[in-house]
Amino acid sequence: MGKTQTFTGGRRVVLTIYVVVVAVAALTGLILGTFVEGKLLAPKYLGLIEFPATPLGLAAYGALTLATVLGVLLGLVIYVSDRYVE
Amino acid sequence: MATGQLALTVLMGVFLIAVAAWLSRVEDWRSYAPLSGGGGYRRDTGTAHEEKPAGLIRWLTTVDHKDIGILYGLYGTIAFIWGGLAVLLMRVELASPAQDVIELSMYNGLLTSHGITMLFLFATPIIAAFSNYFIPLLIGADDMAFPRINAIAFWLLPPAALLIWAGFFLDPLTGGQIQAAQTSWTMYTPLSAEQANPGVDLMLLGLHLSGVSATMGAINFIVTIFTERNDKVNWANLDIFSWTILTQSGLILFAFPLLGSALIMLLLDRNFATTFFTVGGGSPILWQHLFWFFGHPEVYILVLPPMGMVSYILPKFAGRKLFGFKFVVYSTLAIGVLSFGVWAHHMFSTGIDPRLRASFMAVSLAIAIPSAVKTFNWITTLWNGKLRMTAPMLFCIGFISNFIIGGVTGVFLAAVPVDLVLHDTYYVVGHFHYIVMGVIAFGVFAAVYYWFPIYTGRMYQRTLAKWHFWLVMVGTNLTFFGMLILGYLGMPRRYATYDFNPAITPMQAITALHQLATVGAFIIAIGMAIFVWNIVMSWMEGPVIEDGDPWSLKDTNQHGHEWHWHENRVNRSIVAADGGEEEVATDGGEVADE
Ligand code: HEM
Ligand SMILES: [Cu+2]
Repeated sequence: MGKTQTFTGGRRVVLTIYVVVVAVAALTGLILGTFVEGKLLAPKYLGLIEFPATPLGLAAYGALTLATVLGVLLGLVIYVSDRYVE
Repeated sequence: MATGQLALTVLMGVFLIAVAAWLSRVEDWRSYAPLSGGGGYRRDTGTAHEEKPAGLIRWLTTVDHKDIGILYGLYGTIAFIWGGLAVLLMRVELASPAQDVIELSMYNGLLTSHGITMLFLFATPIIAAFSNYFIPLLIGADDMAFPRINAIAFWLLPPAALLIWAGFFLDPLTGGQIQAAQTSWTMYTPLSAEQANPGVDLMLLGLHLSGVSATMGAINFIVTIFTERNDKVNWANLDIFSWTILTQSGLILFAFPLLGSALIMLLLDRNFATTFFTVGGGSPILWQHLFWFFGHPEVYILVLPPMGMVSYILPKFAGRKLFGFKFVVYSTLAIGVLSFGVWAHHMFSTGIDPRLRASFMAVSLAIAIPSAVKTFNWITTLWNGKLRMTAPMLFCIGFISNFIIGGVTGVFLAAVPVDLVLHDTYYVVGHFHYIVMGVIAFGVFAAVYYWFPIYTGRMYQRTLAKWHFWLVMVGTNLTFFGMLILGYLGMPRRYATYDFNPAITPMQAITALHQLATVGAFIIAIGMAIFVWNIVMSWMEGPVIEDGDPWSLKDTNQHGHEWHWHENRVNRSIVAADGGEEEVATDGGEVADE
C-alpha cells in the first residue's frame, strides 16, 4: 500500500475546538444582545463582575464564561496528559 | 351470537396449534444452531457463507448476523430518507411565517412521523446494524446467541414502519377517514387519547411492534456478550463498543417494556373507554411519567453506542490507546444507571412538587458528570496524539464539538428556572438535535466509514466523504444554532406558522432565523445525498481491499479482532482464487491511506 500518511498535531485540533466553541458562545451573546437589547438584566461573570446588557457586553460575558469553564477542563487535560502517560 | 364467537375462538386456537405443530415438523430447527458445526472461532462463518442460497431468498431467510446487520443498515437508511424528506417539507413551510405550502394537519403529521421515524426506525436500527455485524466479530463469537430470534427481531420492523407510516398512504385511499397520526412523538394525553383518527391506533401498534423488536434484540446481545465470547476475550479486555452495547441493551430491557405497557394503556383508553390517562378518572400526567420514564433512558439508549463507536474509532486515528479506558467504561455504566432517575426533568413545567423538581434537577446535573468524563478522556486522547484526518476521524471530532454544545445547552435546561423559561421553545429542539443529529448521527457516520472495508470489501471515495462531513457539519450547526436563538427569542416548538407582536419580538429576526435553519437543513440534505451516492457507488465498484490492515492499525498496535477476521478472510480469498497473484498485484495502493 502506498502509505503516505499525513499527521495533524492533536494539540492544534483540541485548541481549535476550544476556540470555536468559545466563539459560538460569543456569537450567541452578540445575537441575543442585538435582538433583546434593553430587556435583559446585566449578567455577572462568576457572579462578581457585571457586564453591560449590550451586544458586546453579552458577547464578552458569554465568551469569558465558557472560556473559563472549558479552560479549567482543558487545563486538567494538559495536567493529566503530562503526568500520566499511558 | 356468543356461541358463534366462542366457536370462532376455539377454531382459531386449534388452527394456531396446528400451525405450530406443523412448523415444528417441517425441519429440524436445531440443525441451524450456530454451534452445531462444532466449528471454532471464524471457521464457521466461512462455511456458512458457502451454504447461503443466492439472491432474494438469501436475504429473506438469512440468520447470519452479518447479513442481518446489513438488512438493519438498509432499513435504517430508508427510514432516514423518509424522516429527512418529511423534515425538509416542514422546513419549507417554516421559511415564511404564514401557512403557504402544506396543510396544517399535514404539518402535524409530518412532525409526528419525523420524530418517531428518526428515533425508532432510523437511530435504533442503524445502531443494531453495527452491533449485529460487529459484536460477534469483536468478541470472537460465531454468531449471535440466538440467530433465529435475531432474524425475527429484524423482520418485525418492516411491518412496524408500514403501520407507523400507514396514515399517509391510507389518507387518499379512504378519503381522509384514516389520517397520519398528529400526536407528536411524545403522544401526550389527552390529545393522543381523544383524536378519533384510526391512524393513531395504527401508529401505536407499529410503535409497539418496534419496541418488541428492540427488546428481543437487546436480550440477544446480553446473552451473546455474556456467553459467546471467545476464550481470549474477558471483561477486562472487552472492547468499548461492546461495553456500550451491553449497557444499552440493559437499558432497553428496562425501558422498552414500559413504553409497550403505556402504549397498550393508551390504546385501551382510545378504543375501550378505560380511563388511565383521561382528565376525569385518570391523569394526563400519568402518561408523561410513564412516557419519560422510558423516554429519557431512550435518549441514552441512542447515544451510548455512538459514544462507544467514537471511543473505539478515535484512538485508531490518534495513534494511541483510549485514555482512561476503565473510566470510560465506568462512566458508561454510571450513565446507564442514572438515566432512570432523571425523567421528570421533562416535566418541570407541569406543576409537579417543587421538592421533586429540585431532586430531579440535582440528578440531571449529576448525569452530566460521567458525560464530561467521557469528553475529558476523548480530548486527552487527542491532546498528545498524531492525528490522521480521515473521514471517520473528522466525524469523531465533529461529534465531540457538537457534544460540547449539546451538553452545555442540556445543563442549562436541567436548571429549573432556566427550563421554565425555555421549555417548549425551539431552544429544546436545538439542544436535542445537537445531540441526535450532531452526535448520534455523526458517530454512526464515523462507523460507516471506518468499517466500510469490512462489510463491503471495498473502499469509499475519500473526497466525497470529506464533502459529506463538511456539508453536514456546517448544515447541522447552522440549523440548530439558529434554533437555539429562536428559542431564546420565544419561538414555541411544534407550530407550522408564527406571528409575534413586533413591539416585543422582532419578527424579522424570527423569520430570518427560520430561513437560516431551512438553508441549513438543505445543506445537510445535499451532504446526505452525496453520502448515499458514495456508499452505493463504492459498494458496487469501489477499489477492492486486498489489505488485511487498510488503516495501518498495526503500526500503533491497534489491530482489533474484527480486522483480524477481515485479514483472515482476505488471505483465504487470495489463496482460494486461482491466479490470486493477479489480485494481489492490483495492490489497492493509495486506496486506504487517507
Ligand atoms: C449532557 C446531559 C444532558 C442534560 C443535562 C439534558 C437535559 C435535558 C433537559 C432538562 C431537557 C428538557 C427540556 C424541556 O423539555 O424543557 C432535555 C430535553 C431533551 N433532551 Fe437532553 N440532556 C442531556 C443530554 C441529552 C442526550 C445525550 C440526548 C440524546 C441522546 C438528549 C435528548 C433530549 C431530547 C430528545 C429532549 C427533548 C424531548 C422532548 O421534549 O421532545 N439530551 N434535555
Ligand atoms: Cu431527559
